[in-house]
Amino acid sequence: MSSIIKLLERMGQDSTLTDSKESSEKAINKADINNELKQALINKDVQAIVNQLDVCPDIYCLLFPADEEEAEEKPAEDKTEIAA
Amino acid sequence: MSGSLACVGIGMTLGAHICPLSKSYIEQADVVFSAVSHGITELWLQEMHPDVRSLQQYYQEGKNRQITYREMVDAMMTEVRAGQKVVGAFYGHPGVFAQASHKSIAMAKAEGYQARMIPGISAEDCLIADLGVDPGRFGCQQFEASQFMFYKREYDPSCYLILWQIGLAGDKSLAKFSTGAAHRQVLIELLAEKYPLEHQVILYEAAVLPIDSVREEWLSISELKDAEIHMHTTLVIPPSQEMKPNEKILARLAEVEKAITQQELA
Ligand SMILES: C[S@@+](CC[C@H](N)C(=O)[O-])C[C@H]1O[C@@H](n2cnc3c(N)ncnc32)[C@H](O)[C@@H]1O
Repeated sequence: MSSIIKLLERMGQDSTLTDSKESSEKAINKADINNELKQALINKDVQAIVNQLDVCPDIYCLLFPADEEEAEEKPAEDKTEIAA
Repeated sequence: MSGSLACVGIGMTLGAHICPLSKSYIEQADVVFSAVSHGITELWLQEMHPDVRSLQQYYQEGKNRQITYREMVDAMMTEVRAGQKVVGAFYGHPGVFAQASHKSIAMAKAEGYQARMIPGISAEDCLIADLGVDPGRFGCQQFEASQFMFYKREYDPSCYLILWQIGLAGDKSLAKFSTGAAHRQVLIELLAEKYPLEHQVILYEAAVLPIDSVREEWLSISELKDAEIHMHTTLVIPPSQEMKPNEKILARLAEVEKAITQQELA
């Protein structure tokens, strides 16, 4: 696993890193990543991290329509009518 | 039939929320489709499996999202039908305000394939923890913001109201990624039927990366018009009224209690 992702994963799962600034900075400084990434992590500068990694910049998180598709219901109705 | 489908939740915060079972499904899959909310989260999934295909490619401004969601289902089902062990890895909970996961599971089952959903920690779960809101305290209603506008919904200002996808509230075309002040003004007018305009509400954003800070911005309903609202913002409206006692039911219950006591005494 790439070092930066491994570190982020650890920062997500380890309570000592989420609770203590000192421990998290220590972990960041010890990680096998370049200085710019270290600085970006310490500054919590997500954009700077994104700029350095090969990341899809525009992510859409929408997964839900306001309306169900009507067209989908219709064939089912037609079928019942034919069956009837 | 050898194909199968599992739609798994990876939670909201990278590293923090994924459950062992979801992780195992991802690692054991033949192919993983990802619908996550950050580019870095996509990288994280790619570290867990060599064949992760992003479902992001189906989004396009101006394209009806119904088509996008159908294409997502098709992409997953094509591999299931080809006999593959398919995983759909969704951010948050795969079944919370998410269409493609429910539809693909129903379709796979209808076609005789094994299919299941593994829950995840949703935006609502994070909201409960970050804002200290207990949905049981006054009750809680939740709607997709546009659906809340398009239909006459019965809602109760004595409970919490959560509106999802508030960033595109009122988009009838289903083809926009955001709506602005004009659409929001209509939502404000709707909310003003039950809430005072100065009622304080919360714009909420959970941490997606462990280094993110949570957004908890309090503002009035009227200030929503010009507020900064993103695709991933959720609106939380705390109760504006006290719960009203249901005198009729309380009286009925008192009668019942009395009858039971009398029976016990007899
Ligand atoms: C289509 S729903 C998907 C929800 C997701 N399945 C879950 O379990 O939370 C997208 C909406 O979820 C909410 N959401 C997504 N990411 C969020 C975040 N980081 N913080 C708060 N709400 C978020 C927003 O209301 C957004 O418009």
